[in-house]
Amino acid sequence: MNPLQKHVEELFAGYKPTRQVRELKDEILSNLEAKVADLAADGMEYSQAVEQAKAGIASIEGLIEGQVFYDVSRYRAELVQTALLYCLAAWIVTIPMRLVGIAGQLSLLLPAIAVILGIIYFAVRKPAAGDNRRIEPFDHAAAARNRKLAWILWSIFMLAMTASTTALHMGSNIWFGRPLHISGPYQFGVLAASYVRPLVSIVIPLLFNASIRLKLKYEAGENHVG
Amino acid sequence: MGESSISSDLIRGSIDTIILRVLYEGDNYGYEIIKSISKYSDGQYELKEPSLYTSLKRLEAQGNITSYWGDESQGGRRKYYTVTPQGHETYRRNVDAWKMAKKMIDQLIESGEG
Repeated sequence: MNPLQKHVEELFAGYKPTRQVRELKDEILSNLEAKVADLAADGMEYSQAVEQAKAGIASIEGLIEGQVFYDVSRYRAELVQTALLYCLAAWIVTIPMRLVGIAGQLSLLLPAIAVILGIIYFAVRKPAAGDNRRIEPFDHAAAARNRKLAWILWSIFMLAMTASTTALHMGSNIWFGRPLHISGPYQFGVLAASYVRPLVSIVIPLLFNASIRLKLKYEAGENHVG
Repeated sequence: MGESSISSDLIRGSIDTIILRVLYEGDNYGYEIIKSISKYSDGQYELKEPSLYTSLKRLEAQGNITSYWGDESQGGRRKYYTVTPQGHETYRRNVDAWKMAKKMIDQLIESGEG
């Protein structure tokens, strides 16, 4: 990242990455680059030119409008589609686990969820394709908080699952009086699958990421009157 | 310092018209608009960047200008502004209003002098 990009990133730190913000960011950066190129062409040293350009804009306060809106119908349709894809990907991951007798229920549950999501997708796709747009305000701060919470909870879940799997297998000698014995690829597969299985749940925090990304993608025009 | 702050105060109310004047001569982007304004004032007035962006945003919201992104061949991805027919009309109206105000202010301030 060059010093101008860094300066612009700092100016916009804490602002929601909406379309309006992204465009203003690009505009300010391109103008700063033009200014530096111009000053350098006049014989000024590059670092001095950068400092002079940076001094020209020290704050963007008042240039960004607060409220952001998004198109709910299109957002919902693509979020369901994304959830369906994640669900199918998770199901594919569980297929090899079935060979070692693990994730049997998951292999049945995930396709069932995928079918339900598929039905929901067809139900929400129609309003999204029509002209009747439904616009709602987007609270980016709340969405970012929820996303953070989802990742924290998922991390705790993963830690707990990994710890319990480790305790169960590695402490096998203590709990069951039988030491862990890996005699071949099958036993290894069983052990590896029991560690990998909880990872499938990563689709949940990933959906929180997708939710923010899609709300920004379907951001309604800034001239919208709500 | 004192002189430049006085001129800034006097000019502030006419920044939109000054920007419309620059764009009247052809589409342009932020930094070049600032340069043109500096050139027209013989280097005596330098428009601050935050004021430029605020003014451009206001003019665009009022429908006096529109914007488009230039292609990379023009040097980076620059946002260009162009005056709309309404903007042309606003510019002419503002210039007429300025001429009238100038005449009247001259009378008010300078009458009795000399």
